[in-house]
Amino acid sequence: MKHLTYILFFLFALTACQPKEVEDKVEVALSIVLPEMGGAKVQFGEASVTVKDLNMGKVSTQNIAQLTDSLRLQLTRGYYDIELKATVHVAGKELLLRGYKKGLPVTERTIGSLVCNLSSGSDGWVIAEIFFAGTQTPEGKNYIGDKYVVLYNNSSDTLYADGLVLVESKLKNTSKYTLTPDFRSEAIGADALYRIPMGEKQYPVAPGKRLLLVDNAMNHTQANSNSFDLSKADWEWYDQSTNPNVTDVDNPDVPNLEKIYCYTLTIWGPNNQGNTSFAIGRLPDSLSIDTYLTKYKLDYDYINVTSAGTFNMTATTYLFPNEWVLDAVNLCPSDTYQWLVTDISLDAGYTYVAATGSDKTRFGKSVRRKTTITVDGRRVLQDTNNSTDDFQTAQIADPFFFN
Amino acid sequence: MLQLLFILTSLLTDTAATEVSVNGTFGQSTMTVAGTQNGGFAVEANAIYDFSNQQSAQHRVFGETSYTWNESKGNQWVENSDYERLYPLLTCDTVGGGLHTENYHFRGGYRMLKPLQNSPVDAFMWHIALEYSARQVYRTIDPRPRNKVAHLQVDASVGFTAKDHAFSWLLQLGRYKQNNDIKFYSELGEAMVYHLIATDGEYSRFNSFKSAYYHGYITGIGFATQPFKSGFIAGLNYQYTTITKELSSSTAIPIGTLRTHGLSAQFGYTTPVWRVSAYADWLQRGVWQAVYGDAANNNYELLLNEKRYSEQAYRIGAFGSYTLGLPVGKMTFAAAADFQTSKVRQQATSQRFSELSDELLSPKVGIDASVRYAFPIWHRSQLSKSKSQISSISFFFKPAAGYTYYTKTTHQCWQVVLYAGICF
Repeated sequence: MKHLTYILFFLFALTACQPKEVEDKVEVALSIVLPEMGGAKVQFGEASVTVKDLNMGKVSTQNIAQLTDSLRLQLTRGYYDIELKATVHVAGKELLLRGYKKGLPVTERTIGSLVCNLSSGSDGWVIAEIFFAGTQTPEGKNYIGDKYVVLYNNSSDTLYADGLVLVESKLKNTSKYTLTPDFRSEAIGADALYRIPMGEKQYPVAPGKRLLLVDNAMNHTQANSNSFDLSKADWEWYDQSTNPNVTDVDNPDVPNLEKIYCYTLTIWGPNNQGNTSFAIGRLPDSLSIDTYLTKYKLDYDYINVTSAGTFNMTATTYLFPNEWVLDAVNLCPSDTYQWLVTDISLDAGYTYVAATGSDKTRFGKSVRRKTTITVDGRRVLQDTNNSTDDFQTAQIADPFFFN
Repeated sequence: MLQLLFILTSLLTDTAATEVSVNGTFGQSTMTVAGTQNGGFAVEANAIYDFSNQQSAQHRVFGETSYTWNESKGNQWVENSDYERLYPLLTCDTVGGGLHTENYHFRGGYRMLKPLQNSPVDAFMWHIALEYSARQVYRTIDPRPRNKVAHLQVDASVGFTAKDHAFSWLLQLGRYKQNNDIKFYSELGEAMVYHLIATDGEYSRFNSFKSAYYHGYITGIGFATQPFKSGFIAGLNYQYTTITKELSSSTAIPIGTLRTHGLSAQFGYTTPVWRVSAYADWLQRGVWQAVYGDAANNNYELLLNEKRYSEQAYRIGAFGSYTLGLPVGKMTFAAAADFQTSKVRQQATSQRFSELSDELLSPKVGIDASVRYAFPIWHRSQLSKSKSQISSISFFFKPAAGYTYYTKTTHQCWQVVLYAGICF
């Protein structure tokens, strides 16, 4: 009995020696690197820092009374995205200062830097709405073919849509890979590129007006009362399928987008789980499609780790350089985010309609850009190159919300 | 945790008997974690065979087997089996639904009692037993969990008898596994699956994973003493359990390890007619979360393992029984009551599971009562060469009922079981 008592004491001692209970926090010190202001006097306004725990999904925002040259945060050990947002007044103009630290591992006191950039907002073409999930019939069946993208003239001038290219990324924001080469800082790797035909200012769009690009420009409500009448769309993407069992529908009254490239040999539709990124932009006028497809094709390598082993993989994409991009939007289900497949300068966030890609609540929902103000009946949409801020998630899809 | 003491109880005295029984169960609960209603049946058989050799050592082989079928309705949140063992490392959704459970259980072993001459003790005794339980839990509509549980365990003891008491030290080693897969057949998509790392918080980074694998070890040591007929009973045992939860994707991703330290003590007095005992349990439950960083190439970089859930649970209880001899047969009344409470430290991450957390952690009071009536249906006297040997077969039935009240959530549940069988 005496020995048993000793054993039990020993076991309790072991219990006491278990790894330290760590709810205590560690300091993260980030020095703020401001952009070159050209010697202009800078006055800081309101500032806030947002920290997202990428493991637990917790997001916390705290206001900063007086922005200094460094940020000091107390964080539980983990893996974080950190975003600094501040208004600055430079030469009488109010600008938005943003800095990002993506994927920061914190296991001990951490010192780093937060490189900030100034943004004045966009006043040109923007992607206003993306409807990628499809709808659900009254019988509860999945219905595709009514997906659409809304482009919007966010300026106060008439813009011309000639040559605008709609791009869907090859990489997914839900699957991170080590790329060789990592082209994201220079270009978007595209899996689908469709273009409004080139012309000489043939397709004017007035300020505050939109272009509706759809999969099938038809009255979908005849087949599915939960869908929309897209027969009056501005453009549709049409694919000549190589599979007679999977064919596209062409509405002769609605012009087709010009297909530059698409990965599929059948018919294309935006990824219905919302994993990819979309962009609009233009190829240089002097660049023909054939030349583009020759010069911008890239074979890249990546590593895929599975329980069966580690495999070196090769894939092919078509690069759409970042300087050609007018607007980009990253899509990613909120709980399955791993990285951004576009450069942070194009879009530093992501938006979504559901928590996971297979969430059955996603049907009939779209992501829609926020309206900042309305001037003389014209909506001015928010575009700070951060779709987490700029978009409203899981909106009831309405292709005619922007008229 | 009192399992070790019960193992010894059945080994040292002759209260255990060979019997075959069936039972039917029905219960209701206002608490949804295990279903608002459940019913089922079980078939059980226990056998003991004693024999002696020429050196007068007493040998006993024993075995138990059972099959249980149960169906529950109104389950919510938890899609695991053994949620009381595994929490807070649970797999959950917000849809739920009834579950079908099939359980197979086997246990067999050997015990030897060898009288000693010229020794301060009367006899040396030891035993070893192997136990295996397999369970399958499933649902036939979305979400469709299919849980396969395997639990293999060895227990062994050494001890001695002195005067009218027996004293034993016991060792227990076990291996536990559970495959927990959830499938959705709907073409439209799926409900969200959550992997809890605290009772009210999920590991949101892995919400889309639908396959989990639990594996771990159970070790225990104990000491017990009890009389052959009348006297004090006492026992103390310690159990350590470690179970890791891995998520299955293209690679296996351990997300947390549950470690429990449990100590239980029992003290009482027993006679052939009545028995009273009191017991107390203490359980420390901790979860070490695997914290991950970059996940490039499907390879999650482990940053650290950190304790983020800590719970201390306490339980006290009492048991009593009384056997009444009747003109035909005998009747045994038994009753038990216990109270359980716990203190928790955890990093709460969402309010989504606060209701579940309350259900798991609420203090509770439970009472159980049963009446067993056994009467002979066949009796034979047989004269052998040296002694008279009496054989009999008795029929028994035992209605039992249990009621639990959760003091914090005011939930309550009750269950009735009716046993019937024969014993030799």
